[in-house]
Amino acid sequence: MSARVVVVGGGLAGASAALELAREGVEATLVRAEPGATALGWGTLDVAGAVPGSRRLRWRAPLREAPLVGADRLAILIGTFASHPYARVFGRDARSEAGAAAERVKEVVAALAAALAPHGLALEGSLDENRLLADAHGIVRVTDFVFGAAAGGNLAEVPEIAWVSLAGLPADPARVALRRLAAERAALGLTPVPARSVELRLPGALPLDSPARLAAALDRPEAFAELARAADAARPEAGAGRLWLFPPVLGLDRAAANLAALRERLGAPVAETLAAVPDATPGYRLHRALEAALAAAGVALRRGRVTRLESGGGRFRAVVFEDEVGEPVRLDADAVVLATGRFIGGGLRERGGAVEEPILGLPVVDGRGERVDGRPARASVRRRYLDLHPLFAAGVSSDARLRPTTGADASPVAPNLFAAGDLLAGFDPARDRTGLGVALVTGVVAARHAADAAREPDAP
Amino acid sequence: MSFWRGYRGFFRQILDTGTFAALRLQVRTGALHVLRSLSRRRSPDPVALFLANYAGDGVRLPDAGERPLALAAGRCVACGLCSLECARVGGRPPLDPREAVLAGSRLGIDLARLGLEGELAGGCDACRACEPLCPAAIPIARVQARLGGPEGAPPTL
Repeated sequence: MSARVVVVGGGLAGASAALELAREGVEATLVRAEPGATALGWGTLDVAGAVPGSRRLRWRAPLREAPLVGADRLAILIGTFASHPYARVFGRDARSEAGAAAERVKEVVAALAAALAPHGLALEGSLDENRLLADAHGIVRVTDFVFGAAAGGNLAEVPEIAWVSLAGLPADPARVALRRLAAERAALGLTPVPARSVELRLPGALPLDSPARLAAALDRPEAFAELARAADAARPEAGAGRLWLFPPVLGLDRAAANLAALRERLGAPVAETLAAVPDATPGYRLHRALEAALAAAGVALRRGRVTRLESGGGRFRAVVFEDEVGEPVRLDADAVVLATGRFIGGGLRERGGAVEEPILGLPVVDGRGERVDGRPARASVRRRYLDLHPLFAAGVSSDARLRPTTGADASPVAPNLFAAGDLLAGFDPARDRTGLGVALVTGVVAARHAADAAREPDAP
Repeated sequence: MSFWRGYRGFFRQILDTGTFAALRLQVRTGALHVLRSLSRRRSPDPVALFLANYAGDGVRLPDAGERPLALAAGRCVACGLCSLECARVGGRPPLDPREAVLAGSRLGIDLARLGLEGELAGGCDACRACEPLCPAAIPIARVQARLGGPEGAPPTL
């Protein structure tokens, strides 16, 4: 009988853990309720997007003064923040480990890219150079990796821009977005470039009142043909040799094909902008591609909310979840990976002013390592909005193998329980912009340790 | 000056409501509320006390089904995943799911002011394709049904 590992969680951490388990030849089951924060992304995979708390090294600092790339930021994060999950999995000595850490990150990103590529979602980028991508508001994001249709929109390379707006679609006015884009470029120390606005008028049959409905409609070839025709007609207006930046509506399942068709027809580089929060088209595409990749890898996918874990003999033996109709289902498990996220994913929740981990009641610590379960979390929040709030780095503490630890003596809760992604304490993804990077890396690392623990059930 | 600025939102609200009946209701409940709180009427049953005081003014309690739905809808993070899934599976609700949930979070308040009554007729097909996508686990189909159904008619205050 092969080893069975149950992964809990519907985001990238759970998906990357399950994919890694499938690669390891372990019988993997993924139980998830909702997609979690992964599906809310604007389209980038930030491994080390920013260094929090350092004015000179902030990601918005002018590039000419601090030309940090992803590998540099990763090294600084590992060297500065001892509790960061990266420091935990890669070791704490930045000088000797950083290069090796970057190499390992590149490996896991390449593995994810290979898993997603057959399902119509590209993952491009590098830890050795920055990509500058505009979102739908014209705000520039500095990032290392980017999914799909936004990948071609690197403003660090492309000289001139044709900013496409679709008449009738709710969006910032093009002149506002372009003015913002110019200011952002100036703040990053980039030379101003000619940018002009191109407004496409689509036939009334297309649902222009909602970006979601338009994106779904553009999956249909005849609807997309209308858009391509309108874009073709606007070529003189746009000028030759410019990067066409579309809003992120170029299809849901067929975005990659649509983009390629537009490039060919227009004879120019074409990309989407990143999504502007709260529109989640890129996150939705990622969710769809992950689901397809998991099914293709042979991972058993179950939908439901995990209510408890059964234990026996000092180990966890089974995962119990409520299926869609509320019936309890029990899955035998030789090891369990918890990738349930934080407040959005449901891995942590607030109760009476305190924070708790709902499945096992695991100890929860904030960014300073202080317990926040069972006592008011107010002490973990600072007064000023822009301060580093320890509460936002709350999660479960873990050892180097990513096993959740008890608060008191930091020993593992169980030899076959592992945690991955946002559930891990010690980092604030909103500040260091490592959310999906940590999810991906810790998912893979936790899966490898879980596979080992499941294969050798009697090892300590 | 600053004293009146505090009341600007109050008067703006009255003006937005648009009808004399609503204005009268707001003034009456607002003024009487002060007198009632001074009169210190007591009752062992707070619901009965509320109804005795306010039912005559047209203020009603949210019913048993409404309040939990409004609370659930209030968890919405406005991500729009429901709208994307709905659009992809070809759903045709009278109101986009995200808009419906955002409106539903105000079920206990004044839907008339949102100007949605006309759009709410009919409800969606309740295929529930959107619900597994919701990061806040909101029962979106039930919110839609509530908005579109006969009892979805907006309370006045």
